[in-house]
Amino acid sequence: MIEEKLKIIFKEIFANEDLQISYETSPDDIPDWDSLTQVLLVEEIEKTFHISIDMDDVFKIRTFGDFVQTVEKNTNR
Amino acid sequence: MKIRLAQYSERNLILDFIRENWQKDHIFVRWPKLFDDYHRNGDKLNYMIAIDETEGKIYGVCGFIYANHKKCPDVWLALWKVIPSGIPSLGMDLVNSIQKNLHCNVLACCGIRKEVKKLYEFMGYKTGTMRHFYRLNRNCSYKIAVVNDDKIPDVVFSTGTQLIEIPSEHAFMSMVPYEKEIFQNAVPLKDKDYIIRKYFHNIAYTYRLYAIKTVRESIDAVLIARIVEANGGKALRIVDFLGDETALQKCGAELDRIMVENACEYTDIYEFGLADSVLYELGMKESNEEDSNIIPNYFEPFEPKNVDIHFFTNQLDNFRMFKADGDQERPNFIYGMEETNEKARSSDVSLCTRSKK
Repeated sequence: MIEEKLKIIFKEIFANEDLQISYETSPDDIPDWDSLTQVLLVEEIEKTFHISIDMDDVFKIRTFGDFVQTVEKNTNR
Repeated sequence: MKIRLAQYSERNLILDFIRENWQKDHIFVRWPKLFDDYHRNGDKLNYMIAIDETEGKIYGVCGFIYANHKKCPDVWLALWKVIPSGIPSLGMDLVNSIQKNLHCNVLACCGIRKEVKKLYEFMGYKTGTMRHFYRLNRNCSYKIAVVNDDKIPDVVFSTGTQLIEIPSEHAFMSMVPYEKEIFQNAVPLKDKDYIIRKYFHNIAYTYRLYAIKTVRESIDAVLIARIVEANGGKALRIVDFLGDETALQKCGAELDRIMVENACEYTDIYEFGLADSVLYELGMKESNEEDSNIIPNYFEPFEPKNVDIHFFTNQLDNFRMFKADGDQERPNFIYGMEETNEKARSSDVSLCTRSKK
């Protein structure tokens, strides 16, 4: 469920319905994934899941899988 | 990946990065001496770089400019660019590294893209848009400004306030009591070295500095301006201001005098932090959506359009910003006959050398 919602967010932020996403998906696979889109992703994710992600965690996230784990960690609090 | 301050020996690596990833004919690429002028710091560069030391490849750069060299300095960011590296937060990491390494009191940037404001706000910075004010010269034909409304606010003509030109750095040191609180309380604080270097030893432009002498015979402020030319017309651009803003508000008639003496069709100022009342009493009008006139910002090359300048800062209390802060006054044309690279010798007007203005 978390994963599916995150995929929707990714496709929205990167404006690509056909985006192929796996746990290992990283900026190497999505060239537009930079600091600005990282911020947009975090904001949308925080809004969708009603969580607040620590800045330290934001800087550590490098893959889709990292986002999944971060959301799981914050929703289990 | 390592994020660290660049060495001067890495200058060409950075210029190559700018050429390949930012703009192939960037002024720094065409005029490396300007890059040195802005960013050389002995055997170091005022640039934070993200570099893969094994590859020797740069993945990101963030330039910065000191306003002063206090223990916790005031600093403006300059050119900031990253390329895909597998690290989505690399851009933010570069900015954070500057703060971590330099322990800035003020960290700001003049001239950020509107779409990136969100990024700075996320990082905890405050963002804003500078306000643009101007005053037309009466009885003038307008070749730079597009004037649909030529109403000019009245100013008081005998305030006793004078604008006295400061012709040299020695004059600056003797005329301006820069140790006074009204100058030293500025946020950010531009130290004397910064002012002397930028405005009296500028390799591209000639600046005009005016001491504002009040009726009390004291020098309470300094106004810094530059005359620009386009389309056969001239404009007096106020690019910086130091000191007590209340001294500025009585200068309207003096500004008119300087415009007339120099055949300038208008004077303008981009600013943040000055009180509205100061600018209105100065006889300025605001260039905004409600104004039908065009007061251009880009002169190299000339673009007859209104432009917003956005900024960020880590602190808004007493914060001021002007057009010359950071790298917003950086030329796009090469001036003088100094070192240029081969590409500058082309027929493209933007690449030609020009006489220092």
